[in-house]
This record gives sequence, structure tokens and C-alpha cells, in this order.
Amino acid sequence: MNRDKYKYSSDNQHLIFSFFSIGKQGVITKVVVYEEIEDGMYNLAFGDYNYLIGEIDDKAISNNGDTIKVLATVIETIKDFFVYKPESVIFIQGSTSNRTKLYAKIIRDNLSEIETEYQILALETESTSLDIPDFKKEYSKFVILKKQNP
Amino acid sequence: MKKEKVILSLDADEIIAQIKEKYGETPIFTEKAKKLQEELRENPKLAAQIASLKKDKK
Repeated sequence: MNRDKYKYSSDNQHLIFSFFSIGKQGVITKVVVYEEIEDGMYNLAFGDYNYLIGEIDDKAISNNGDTIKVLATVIETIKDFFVYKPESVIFIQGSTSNRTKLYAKIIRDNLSEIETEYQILALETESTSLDIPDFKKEYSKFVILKKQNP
Repeated sequence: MKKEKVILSLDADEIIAQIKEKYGETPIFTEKAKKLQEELRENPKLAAQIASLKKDKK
């Protein structure tokens, strides 16, 4: 995952991250927010920031031609988050099934590297328990934890 | 062009401050987060599994 990334800023709690995507559509403000849904359990929210109305759109399709760089930056925010909240759990799911499939592909393609420091589990739709991912299956969400002693 | 100038006039820290002002210090604003909260409440087995994973890390 040694890919080109954007420089980002974060709040002092390391829950809100922001960076600028620069591509064929111009400059687009991206925001990553770790939403605490239960004690120590967070949902990774990611989208475009609409500065005119002050809202985050997690369904926006930017088409800025820099998906790999943007996602590499999001991955950096995950690492940053776990530095400050190592005992937390992050849920990763796309705002659409296609996005979840994209996230699954990124996880699958980088699994050996991810698993040196993190544990990945997956949840099938309608399933009630997390499993070790089998990438032949389709999952509704993934869960990531930092390993205690990588 | 005008849009780009406006975006560049805000830095990332200012945007974070705006988000905090709108959504609060610990924001929950996405539909999927709210749905996930419901799922965890309705699915105690999953919530317990995650709690167990967290406990194992301590």
C-alpha cells in the first residue's frame, strides 16, 4: 500500500479527517469521519464535502480520476485512527453495493500486508456473525481491528 | 473556476471546524451508521462477538 497519497488534516480526537482531491474535475474536498455507533465501535464514513451547504455527501461520485490516491489516503486515516484508538473496531461498508465491492477488492488485493498489523472480518447480508473473509462471497460490511502485537 | 477559488480559500482545518460546528464533536450523520446502530441493537450475537474481539485485545 505504498501508493501516492494526499496530505490530510485531522481534528484533535482523530475522528474527522479532510483532504483535497485534485484531478480532472478540479479540486474536491474529501472528508473521512469515524462515527462512534457504540462504545469503541466506529463506522467509517467517507464522502465529498459540499462547502456551500456545509454537508457531507457520502453518495457523491466525483469521477476525479484519482480513486487510487484518494483510497490510499483513506487507508492512511485508518492507520492514524488506530494509533490513537488501538482498541477500537471500525466497520467499513460502502454507501452502495458497488462501493462495498470496491472496498472488498482493495482489502483482498492488500490482505497479506493488512494482516501484518490488522485483523479483518466480514459480515454477509442477513448473517448474524462475523467470519474470516472468503472473497468468493459477497459481504455487506467488513470489520477491522488492530492486532495487539503485530 | 470560481468554485475552485472558493474551495481553495478554505483549508482542511477550517473544513473540519465547519463539520464540527454542524455535526458536533462526535458526529453521526450517515444513514448507514444509523442503520448499523439498529442492527447491533437487534443482533445481540453480533454485538457480543465484537465486544469479545475487543476484550481479547486488552
